[in-house]
Amino acid sequence: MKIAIVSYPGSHGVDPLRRAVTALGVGEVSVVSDRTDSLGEFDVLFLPGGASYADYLRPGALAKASRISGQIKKAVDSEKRVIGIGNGFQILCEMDLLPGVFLQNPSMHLLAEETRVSVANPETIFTKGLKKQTYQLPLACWYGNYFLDSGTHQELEEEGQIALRYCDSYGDPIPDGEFHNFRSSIAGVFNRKKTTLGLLPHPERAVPGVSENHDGMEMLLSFLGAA
Amino acid sequence: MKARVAVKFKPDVPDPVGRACVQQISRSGFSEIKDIRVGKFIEIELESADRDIIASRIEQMCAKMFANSLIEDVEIISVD
Repeated sequence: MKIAIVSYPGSHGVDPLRRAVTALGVGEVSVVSDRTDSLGEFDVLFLPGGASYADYLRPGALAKASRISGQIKKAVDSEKRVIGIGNGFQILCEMDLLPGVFLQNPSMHLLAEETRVSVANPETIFTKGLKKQTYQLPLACWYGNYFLDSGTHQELEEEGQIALRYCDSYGDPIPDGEFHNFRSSIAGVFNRKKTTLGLLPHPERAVPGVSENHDGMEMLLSFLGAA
Repeated sequence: MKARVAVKFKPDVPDPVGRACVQQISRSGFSEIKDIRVGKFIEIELESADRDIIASRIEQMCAKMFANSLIEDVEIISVD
C-alpha cells in the first residue's frame, strides 16, 4: 500500500503522522509538498494536523489555494481513500470536499486533552475494522467548534455521514452544545460517498512510543483498511 | 487602485473574540459597551483601473478566499 501525506507550511502534524503510519508496517509512506503538482502514486492520502499557513484568514483557507489542491480534489472525486486529521479536516472543509467550517473555541483556550469518541457509523471502509464502540484520542485545537447549518446537520445524520461523536465514558453522545460549548458534538464526518473522512482528534498521537494509550493505532489501521 | 473590504461574522455566529473584548474593555472604564463583533479589514491594491471590473474581482476573491459564506458576510467599503 502506498500512503501519501501532504505537507503545508505550518503542518507540524506531518512527522507524528508519518512516524505513526510507518510504524504500522502496512505500506510505504511518502510526504508531498503542497507546492507541487503531483501526489505521485498513492492508495491512501492524508492531510495532516497542524496549522497550515498559520491559520491565517481561517484554518485551511490559504491551504486550499495551494498548487496541490487540484490533485486532492481529483483524489476525492475519483473515490480514493482520503483522510484529513485536525487541520487536514479543516482544509477539506474549506475546499468544500467535506461540509462545514470551524470556529475558534468558545473558551478562547487551546484544547489539548484526551477525549472519548464513539463510532457513529461502523459500516464504512474507514470504520469497519474498528472493534470497539469508543476510543480515547488526543485533541489539540484552537479552532474546534464545528459549524454546520441545521439543514446540512440533518442531512449528515440521515445519510450516515457522521463518523465520530464526542461521548461520555459510557459511549453516550454528549449533547450538542455541551462539549466545551461546541455547537455540535460531531468529531468526524464522511463525504457523501464515504470515501473521504475528516476527524478533529489525533489518532497519530495515541500510538506506541508516543503514548500509553494505543487507541489511535487501531483506528489508523482501520482507516487504512488494514485492521 | 485600492479596494477596502470588511469581513464580518454573520449575526448568529458566535464571536468569542468579541465577547472577550467586551469583558476586558468594559473593565477598562468603558462600561457603556453592549456588544463587540470583531471582523477583518482587508486592503487590496490592484492593477486594473476599471472600477466595475475591480468590484467584480473583489467579490470573487471574497467568495473564494477572504470569507466563508457559511459564517461570514462581506462588505466592500470602498474602491478608489
